[in-house]
Amino acid sequence: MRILVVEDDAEAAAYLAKGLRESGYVVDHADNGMDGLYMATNEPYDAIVLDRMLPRLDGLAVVETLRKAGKQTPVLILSALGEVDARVQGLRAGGDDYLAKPYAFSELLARMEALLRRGEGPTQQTRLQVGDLEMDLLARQVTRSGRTIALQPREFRLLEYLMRHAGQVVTRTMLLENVWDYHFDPQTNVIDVHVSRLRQKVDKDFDKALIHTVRGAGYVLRESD
Amino acid sequence: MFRTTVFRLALISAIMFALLSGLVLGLVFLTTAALIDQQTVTAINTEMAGLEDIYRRGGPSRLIEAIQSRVNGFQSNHLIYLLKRTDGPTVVGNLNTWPTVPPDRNGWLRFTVESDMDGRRQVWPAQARIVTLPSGLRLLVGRDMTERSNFSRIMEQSLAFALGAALILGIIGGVVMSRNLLSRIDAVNTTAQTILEGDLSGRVPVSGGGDEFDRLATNLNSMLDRIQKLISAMREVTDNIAHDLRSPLNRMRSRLEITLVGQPDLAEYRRSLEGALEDTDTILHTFNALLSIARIEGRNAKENFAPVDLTDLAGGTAELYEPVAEERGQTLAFTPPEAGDRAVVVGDRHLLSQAIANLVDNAIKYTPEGGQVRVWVDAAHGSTRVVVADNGPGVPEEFRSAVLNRFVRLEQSRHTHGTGLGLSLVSAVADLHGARLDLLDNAPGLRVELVFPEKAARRTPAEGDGAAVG
Repeated sequence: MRILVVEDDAEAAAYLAKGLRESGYVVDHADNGMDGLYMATNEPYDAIVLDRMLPRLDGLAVVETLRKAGKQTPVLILSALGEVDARVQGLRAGGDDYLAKPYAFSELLARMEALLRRGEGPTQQTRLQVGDLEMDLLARQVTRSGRTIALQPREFRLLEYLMRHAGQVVTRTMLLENVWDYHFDPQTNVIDVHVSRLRQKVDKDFDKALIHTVRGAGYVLRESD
Repeated sequence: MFRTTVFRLALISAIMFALLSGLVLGLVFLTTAALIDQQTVTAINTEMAGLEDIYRRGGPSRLIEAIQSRVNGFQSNHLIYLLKRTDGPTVVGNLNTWPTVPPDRNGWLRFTVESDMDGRRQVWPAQARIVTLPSGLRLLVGRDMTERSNFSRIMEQSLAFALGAALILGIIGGVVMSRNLLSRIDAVNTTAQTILEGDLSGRVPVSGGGDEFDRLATNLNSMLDRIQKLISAMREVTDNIAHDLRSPLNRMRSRLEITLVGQPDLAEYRRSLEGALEDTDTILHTFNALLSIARIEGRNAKENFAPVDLTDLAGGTAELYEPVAEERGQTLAFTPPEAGDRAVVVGDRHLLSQAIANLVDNAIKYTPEGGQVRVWVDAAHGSTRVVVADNGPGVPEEFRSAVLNRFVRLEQSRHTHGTGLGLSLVSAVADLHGARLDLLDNAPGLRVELVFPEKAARRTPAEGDGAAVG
């Protein structure tokens, strides 16, 4: 997988590239908007990490130009502007996800992987399956090893999100944003409580746990340990 | 002083005033002069017609007689007469010599008369008309124009005097006025200078007369008050940031330093780094909270405001926190407003949900195990309220008002609980929405009410409906 990092802060870019390389990606780096746009247009990248404030060409302008040129490469916008409005602007310009600086690398990685896998699989799924856990999206029913698991509507959406991102690390912020549509950092770790409730229903009575905690990052739903 | 705007304006107005008075006087002069001239012409014409009539009826002898009697009788009427044969000597009249000035086509002429009056030689202007009679006689009837020329002279003099006086007085007035205005502008300048030099307490003096300058001074002073308040608020925020960040930064520094000083193995390095990462997260968390509060406080109200259903927000928040309460052995109950009441306000959805979340979070955090937290939305009687009540220890009465004061509260809550910026943010969000944040005794426990103004609540359904239709 090839990733383009467009970031003018050399040190931040170096750390980011190092982290991504260690996670198994091939990373190219551009330190200004013009070069970034040129590389993004001419090379087949799988994803782009784009700083919002860039010399020569602003990050938002880069995404807009890229989208107008018909390039659908997933773009993760990084910005020092943490406001909800700034996030909306970034997404409106054609960005696929938005992360405010300072960010945790694990957060960036998780979001990056979610973007990379987004295009996979049929979009109009009616059934999700991970191991012996099955979810019927039409009947809104969940079974594990044939046994029906009764879930509250929110628990259902939480599990659906985890199953759609099976095998990927999903951070607490991602869950808060995508399952609850909350775009701020709650003081108490409410997500942990919700996940542990879900675990009670999904994992407790079974030999193999499906929901795993990833230390310092979030959660992952997968078949094996 | 000659370069000031006020002086230039005074000069211009003085000139305008002088020109205007000149114009008025000139008009009066010209119309009066025209009237006098008209009267002169009429008088001469009437007299001439009378004499011609006498001549027609009685011939030259009767005319001479009439002129003679007029000359003797009406000397004081300023009329002059002279009868002369063509190419011959004068016959009768009160003029010594026939004028040398030739008459115009209608027989009119202006000339000067030299006469001996009581032994004194006099020169005076006259206007006359000459008519040639059929028998070769030429008749001159005229008028002494001394008064007319005196009038002209007086008018010209007063015109000149008025112009001069208006100019001089205007300039003197302008100078006095500009001195007065300049001194008041100087007062503003002096104040500005004081503030530029760093003393923010400087204020423009108000004379108390309530004129434009007083209003300017009052406005400038309230502006300065606001600026001073903002600056001191900002200073306090900076102080708070420094205070809140110093201890975790110090903790992190010590942790890293001690790890390096010892003989750490790999596992210990790892632990130390993990600890440092946690410290960093704490710092960032506090930093973000302080920054958001500052941003909300500095934000332009109504920016990105839209109708928001508080029932949805509070219900969603209660649902999000319900498992948290349950884990702590508490109950969290949510009650929506009575059926038919719409709890819709115009506001920022994300900020409001964050504010409600902070209130619920606080209630859960400070209520002991087995406690009850209740959340409800009340939209009856026009005002809209979001209420979060608990049966925990509550906030002592004497701290409640302090808690509502921005910075005191910040300080207070900082000592009592953790970062404790949650309520500060709620207060900032409430301020932005023009809402009131009430801390009440729930007997026992604390009841926090976010009360939205009646106006915002009442106006909202219409806008909401409009949005739904459009």
